[in-house]
Amino acid sequence: MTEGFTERASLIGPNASLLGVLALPAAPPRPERPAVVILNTGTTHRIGHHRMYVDLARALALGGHPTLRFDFAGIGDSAPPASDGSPILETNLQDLRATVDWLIKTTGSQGVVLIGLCAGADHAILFAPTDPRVVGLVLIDPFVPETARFFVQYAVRRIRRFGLTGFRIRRSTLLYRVTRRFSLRFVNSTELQHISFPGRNARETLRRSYSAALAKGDQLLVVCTSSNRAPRQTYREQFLDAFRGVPFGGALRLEFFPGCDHTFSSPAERKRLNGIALHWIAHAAFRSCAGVAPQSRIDRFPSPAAKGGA
Amino acid sequence: MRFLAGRLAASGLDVLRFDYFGAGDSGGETTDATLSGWRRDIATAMDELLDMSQAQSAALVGLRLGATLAAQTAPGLPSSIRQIVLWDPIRSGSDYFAELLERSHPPPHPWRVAAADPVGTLDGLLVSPAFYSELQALDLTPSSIPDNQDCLMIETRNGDPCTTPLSPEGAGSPKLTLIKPHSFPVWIHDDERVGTLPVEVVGGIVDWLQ
Repeated sequence: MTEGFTERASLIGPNASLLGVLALPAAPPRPERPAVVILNTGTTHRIGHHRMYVDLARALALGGHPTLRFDFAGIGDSAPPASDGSPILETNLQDLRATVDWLIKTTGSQGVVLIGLCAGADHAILFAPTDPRVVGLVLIDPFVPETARFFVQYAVRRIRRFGLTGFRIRRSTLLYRVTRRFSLRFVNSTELQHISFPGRNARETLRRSYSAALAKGDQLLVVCTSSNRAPRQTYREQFLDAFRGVPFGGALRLEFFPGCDHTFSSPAERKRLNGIALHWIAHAAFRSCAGVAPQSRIDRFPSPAAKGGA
Repeated sequence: MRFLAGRLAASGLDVLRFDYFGAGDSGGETTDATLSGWRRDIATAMDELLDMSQAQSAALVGLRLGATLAAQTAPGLPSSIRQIVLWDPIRSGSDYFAELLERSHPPPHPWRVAAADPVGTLDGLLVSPAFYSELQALDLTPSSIPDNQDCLMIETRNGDPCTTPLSPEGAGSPKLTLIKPHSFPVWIHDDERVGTLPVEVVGGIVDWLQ
């Protein structure tokens, strides 16, 4: 017990095979405040890069939100996934379903906010439309397709940094990305793929997921960074440009961290991120979902696009 | 280490893994962590393991900085701690410190560190001046190797200034076993090695502890 919150490790899921650490507020439970689930970033276990999820979970618990960090099957201290041939994405989303079940049952919370960085964000937005108990998402560096303005600003940034003479054609990430996009669009006539969405048209899958999440009333906090050597975003509005037509409206809060790298290696940037997330979760207009029954299985994925999807 | 713990448990041994104060899932902040405190954590963990398992004897396994701290802690542990495994211990704290600074991508701007991180940043974590000092002062010599326990020394990274082999002087000790497996440094992650496990090293530790 630390002042203001307690922590406990638990085994979660139908086979008690997933390891999670739950931070609980010391104050009496307030079910109207959403509980929070923090997802793995890729293969990094529940601590997060630079221990960022430990700090975030404890801060959220101090703010009155039961917060669970857990490991997907095969990551950290969770058991390996069942070797039944299921795709890893499907297995992970089933793990997430079991985790939300456990968290709601354990804490009595009426809604859940999912927090994820990178692949964790991709998992969160794929899962949200399938579960009515999810009321909000904090998506940190989710996959955002490149736009024309992205490439222009990327090139400008490279030129500013290295000059025209310092530009390396060989092993140039920028050149690779431009070539790949050109090839996909005009040569192979296939749509954008991404590792988080195997066999799917990434842009269309995400467009449908965001639309479905918004349609059920989810609130979104999207945080994008831009200081990697090969950045995912180069300007604040890239997220909106990439998903033009999705009716985000007032349900979206978009934050841009231009000086921050993908894993938030700066303690100051992590502190800023925690502050924004805490404030947002405390004040967002989450819908009430008391008494909402969970679905028994994941069966409402946005259907794959006709072209390039699977 | 999880893989190693699983293999050891499968071989019939009770195994405890733990996080130091201010690290991993443990309580506390990195800014309050010190190496002397971490050495006390090791002693606490050994007490806990012996209490929970009711075992008559125990072994201590450390990797990199953990191995260095284990070597420094071992002489003060009870006689029931009969074996110690040092897996690529950090020999030079100052070299290790330099490596951690180099590993920061991108390295923090001095002005930003000064303005926002008054405590000090090391590999993305805030640490105290005491931690800085203790880390830089680490110096593991052949004479630091415990001689009251059987010791298995694993050296997989020859040539690294942080882990310059402590042999051949140390290898002269009758209680020291030295192995140099054809393995890769497990703490380095790159695209080619992601997902791979040091099976040879883990197997060697399990066999030796048996």
